[in-house]
Amino acid sequence: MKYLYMLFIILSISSIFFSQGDKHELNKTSFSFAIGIDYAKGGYEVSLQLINPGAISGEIILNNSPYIVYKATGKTIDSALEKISMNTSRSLDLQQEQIVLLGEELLRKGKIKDIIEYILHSTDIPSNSIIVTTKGNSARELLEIFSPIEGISSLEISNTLNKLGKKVSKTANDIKVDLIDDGKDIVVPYIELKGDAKKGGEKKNLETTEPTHFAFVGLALFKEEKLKSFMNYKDSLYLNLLYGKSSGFIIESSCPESEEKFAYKVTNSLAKKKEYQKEEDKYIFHYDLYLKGDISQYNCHLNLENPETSNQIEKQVKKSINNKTHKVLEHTKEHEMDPLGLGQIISQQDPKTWNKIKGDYPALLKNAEIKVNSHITIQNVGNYKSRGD
Amino acid sequence: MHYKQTVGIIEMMFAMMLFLQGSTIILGVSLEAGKDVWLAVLSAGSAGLLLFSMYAYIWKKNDFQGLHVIFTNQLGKYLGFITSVVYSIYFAYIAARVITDFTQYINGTLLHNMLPFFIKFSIFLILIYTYLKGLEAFIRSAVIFGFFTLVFLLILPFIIVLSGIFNVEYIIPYDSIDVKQVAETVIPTLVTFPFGELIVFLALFPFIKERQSVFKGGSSVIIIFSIIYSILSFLIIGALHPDIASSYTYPFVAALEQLDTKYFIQRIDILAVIIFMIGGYFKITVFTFASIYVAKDCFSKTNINKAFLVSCIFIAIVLLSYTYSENHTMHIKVGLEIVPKYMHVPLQIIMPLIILLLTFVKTKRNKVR
Repeated sequence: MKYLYMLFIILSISSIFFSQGDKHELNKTSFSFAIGIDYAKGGYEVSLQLINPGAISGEIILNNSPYIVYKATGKTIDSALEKISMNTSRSLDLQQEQIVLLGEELLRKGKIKDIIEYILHSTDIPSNSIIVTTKGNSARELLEIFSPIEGISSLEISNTLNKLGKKVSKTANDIKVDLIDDGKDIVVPYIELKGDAKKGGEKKNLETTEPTHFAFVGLALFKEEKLKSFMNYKDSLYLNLLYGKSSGFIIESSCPESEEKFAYKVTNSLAKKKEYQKEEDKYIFHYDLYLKGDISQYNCHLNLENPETSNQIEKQVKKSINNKTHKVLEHTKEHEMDPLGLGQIISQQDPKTWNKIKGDYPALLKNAEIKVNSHITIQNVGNYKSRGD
Repeated sequence: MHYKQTVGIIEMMFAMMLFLQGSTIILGVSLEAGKDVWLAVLSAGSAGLLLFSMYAYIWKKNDFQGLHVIFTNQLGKYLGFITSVVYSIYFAYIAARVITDFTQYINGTLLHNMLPFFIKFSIFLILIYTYLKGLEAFIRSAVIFGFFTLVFLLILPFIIVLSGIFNVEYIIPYDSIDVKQVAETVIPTLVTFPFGELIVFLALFPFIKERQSVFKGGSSVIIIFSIIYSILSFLIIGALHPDIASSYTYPFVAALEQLDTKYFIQRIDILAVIIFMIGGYFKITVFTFASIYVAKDCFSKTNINKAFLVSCIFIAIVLLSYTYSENHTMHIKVGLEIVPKYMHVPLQIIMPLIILLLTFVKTKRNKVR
């Protein structure tokens, strides 16, 4: 035992002299909440939004910008990051990354797979960071904006997306799953810049009442690995409705008896039983939607106290859902994409047919049809019930 | 040899629990089975139960003695001696492998730039300290650690389900079971790692007070662990997707990283890292203790200094942890393909079977006499 005690004591003492291998003092690292990746010739242009701690906290708050955007190009993302780290006095910490903003051009060139693999592989960027793309502007331009509400644009983007419901924001893992699965194309949310990009990069942007800002505009649709088209906000919500859960949005439809409009506010939705049926050369998909919601603005003349009226109203809502989903399907048919994962439904329910049609699959979608059987529940009709005039 | 019976059965059960948990869950071996992972784990668990009852039977029929005594009783003086030495080296080697597992785990998830040597060195220091405190203190500490671990492992499934990272789409259709894939995962990897490794407890069981309840306690630990493990693996598959889960280096941590996106419980993966480090510590230490006890029994009649022998084993463990561990790929390749086939199967299944046969024949013959 004596030997062992001696060994233990000697080793313990000697361990004091080891240099700290992984020493990063908190005041010597620079945190980043968002990373933007754009296309550059022969590589990537990476822009990194670094938080400027002196401007946010501390005893004396500096009048500096709360964050700085550095950019660099490189053949790989890592080499670009290395170049960025040459610009700053602090070491980069990417572990707090919340947003990965991908430029439109990069995705149009079909680089999404490389980026996703990079994020999954990387030990620095957390795998739960949200993937977002842009429309019109480059990722760098969007990161340079002073966001008027949250102060830091990465927080504003992530909060905007999280607000919209579970299935809207996508992580690298989700996209990788869609890439692996046969018969489903990728969908990534995109944001757009509203206002002048140049003005948004100045601190004055925080002082006006009409600042440059960004907004969630919808979903970017892919064909295989290439970005093909953008779907606007309203259509994307219907796409989300068919995926499963999405809530808190308005369905407009016309009144049963006239051309006036009323609004149905969805509070809870559920998509069920995706059944597939083949009739001759047509592929028919049945969706069961369960919606719960309230009547919001009501311009119709029927009396809401009458149960008969709610039946008529439910019918109208069903009709507008059918019209809209039809429109969504038309959009995807036009570009020969399958964001709904209809091919996946075939492959799950009828593997034999799927193996036959796999080769020329997305083109066959021209014969697809969606039949939505929606079950509408009207929970509340508002504080003031009737308008029976 | 005389063993001081100081350890209670409950304490030993907690130690077995932590031992089984060890590096099993973090490495995600079972995930190779895809969406039938629950079946793979449960069948491996039942096979493990069979193995454990075999070990318990051998132990009981040999007067509750340690491994070295069992071998010399059944195989004779010289062959028994050689077998004991082989087992001692085997335990030391597995301890070294688990040290490397955890070094690479800490390197990969927490301290990316730390030299592996420093991590190994720290584990080594704790190991020596534990040995100085003795087996009793070590096994008793299992109750404290095991309680927290068990609570964490029981709450975790609820957190995963409630947070919504579990995707039902990934695991349908439920009814198609790929028997071949399940069998490939179970045999030999999942049976031997972690269930077959329980053979190491044969070296520690002689210290237990309540000898009769060992079989009951051990089997209930195996059953509870298999159920928890199968639920957790199933949930990981649902969170990550069957095709992707097995290509993560540490699938469990990757799944837990997804947890914090929209909910108030954030960075739970760090808690998981700590919980698994506890498991790793128990696994390493149990193997080290076993190796030391078997070696001590072997050389009890020679006049080799005990402390010298123990120091030799410690240094051997550290040196062995450098073999085939230049990088993670090599280490895992060796650990999950070569070691189960050429080390685990002979030493965990074939050798005990031979001993079982000999014990059986001898007890029959004794009865006839």
